[in-house]
Amino acid sequence: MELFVGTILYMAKYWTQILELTGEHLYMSVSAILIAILAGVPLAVFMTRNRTVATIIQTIINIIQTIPSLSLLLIIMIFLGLGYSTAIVALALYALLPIIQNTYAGLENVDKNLVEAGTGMGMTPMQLLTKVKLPLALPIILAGVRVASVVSIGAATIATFVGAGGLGEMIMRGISTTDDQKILAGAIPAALLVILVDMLLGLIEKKAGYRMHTVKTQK
Amino acid sequence: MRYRWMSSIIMVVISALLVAGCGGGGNVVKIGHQATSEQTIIAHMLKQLIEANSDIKTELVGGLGGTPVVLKAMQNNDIQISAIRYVGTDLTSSLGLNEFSKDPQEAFDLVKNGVAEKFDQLWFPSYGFDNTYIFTVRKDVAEKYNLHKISDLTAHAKDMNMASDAPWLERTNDGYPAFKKEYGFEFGKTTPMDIGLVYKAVDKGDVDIVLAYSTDSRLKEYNLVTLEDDKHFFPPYGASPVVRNDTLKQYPQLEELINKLTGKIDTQTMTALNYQADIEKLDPADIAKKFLVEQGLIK
Repeated sequence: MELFVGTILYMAKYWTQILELTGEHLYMSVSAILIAILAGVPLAVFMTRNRTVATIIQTIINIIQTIPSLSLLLIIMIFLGLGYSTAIVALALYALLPIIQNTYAGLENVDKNLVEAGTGMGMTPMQLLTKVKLPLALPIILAGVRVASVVSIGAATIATFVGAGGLGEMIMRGISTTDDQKILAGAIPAALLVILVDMLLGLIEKKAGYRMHTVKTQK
Repeated sequence: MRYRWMSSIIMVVISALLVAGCGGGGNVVKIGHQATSEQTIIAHMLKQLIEANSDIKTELVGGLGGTPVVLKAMQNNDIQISAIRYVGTDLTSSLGLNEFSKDPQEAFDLVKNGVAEKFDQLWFPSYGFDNTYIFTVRKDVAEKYNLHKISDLTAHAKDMNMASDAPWLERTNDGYPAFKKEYGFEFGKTTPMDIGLVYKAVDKGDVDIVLAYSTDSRLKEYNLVTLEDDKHFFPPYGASPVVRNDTLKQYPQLEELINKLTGKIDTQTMTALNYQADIEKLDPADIAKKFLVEQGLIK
């Protein structure tokens, strides 16, 4: 109880600093998710065209997941140096797995009859992708984005190791001085961010699913 | 139409991100430090000392994840000053040496020359303290097994759970693999964790023994017993600032300014400063300021 009250008081006293760190945290994780989507979705589309490529990409993103965060940061640092860029690229690499996996699974599981119907109507492969496959796979892709965001926001606490700040900085300062209030003052906003973003994406996901449904019944 | 609208938003966001990512630089000397209180306090001292006595602008880059990150940031010119580097750590992890003298002066010369040659950085004289690794147990454990030095652990180690920072378990030269060879025993279980957590872990009995940092004030606060390194396994860990040589050329007054701290902080003083941060929860910037004023280095 004393810890709880102390944490609230601490957060009230340093709220500008916590807000700034939260901003950095959100900036890095959102950028990482956007990059992961922009890179992951086209890659997954490519994977549906070619089995060998699919296996290779699958293996690579699986390997990336197993690299410990600090070594991944060190490798990226060789090219991008200290700061936001290195942290964002590392987070994007971790976020690739759920996005690629879900997009790939979503596209692969589109009803073959619908694809055939599209082909029968004379659709080009591009039209088939943008007008049939991607819209139908969208709810599953969004579920992947949701997982990726939770992973990214959680993992963004490692950004502090390359001087990029974020709420991890507060947590690490707490750990290095055995100050539980500081640890919580960093951990609580991070947890709230995860919950908030997850709820937001859940709403979007629901909306997307609903729209697909109405499109289908209109046909 | 809607898709075009969305894609233009995405493009704007991405270009904004790219522009934001490329910022920084300019005529600022950046001081890099790790997350420990010791590193943070010293980094603030350097910043205040330099800014009070010259018109050089400095900026702190904190929380870096270990000596390898600090070194790489120095090489990339992301930072120009390392607030503290430790002789033993750099000899083994940065210079990759296996065998070297454990005499403090010889080790110091070796690291100074090595870092100058390999990385073009100047290793300053020591601040005056060593922050070495030290095996630490709770008082009742020490009494139960009658522990005074590391060799006393030989018979009991296999029943013990040992916690240390993760790098030590991996480092080949001054880390756990070499330790096992030197002392001829190993612990039943090892638990790597952040160094800030080991003190509470051993105090609460979550682990039996921890490898602590000798300047940490929590050793005293938690009434912990430290064990003598009777085989002199650990190399000297004298603490010094390190600066890029091209930065020293650009700002000739920097060397003299930083040298004002040489020999000013002995192990006891550093432990006391850490105490103010870790136990009294004072702000590192204030601790640094108070110390510099007391020493007459700033007004």
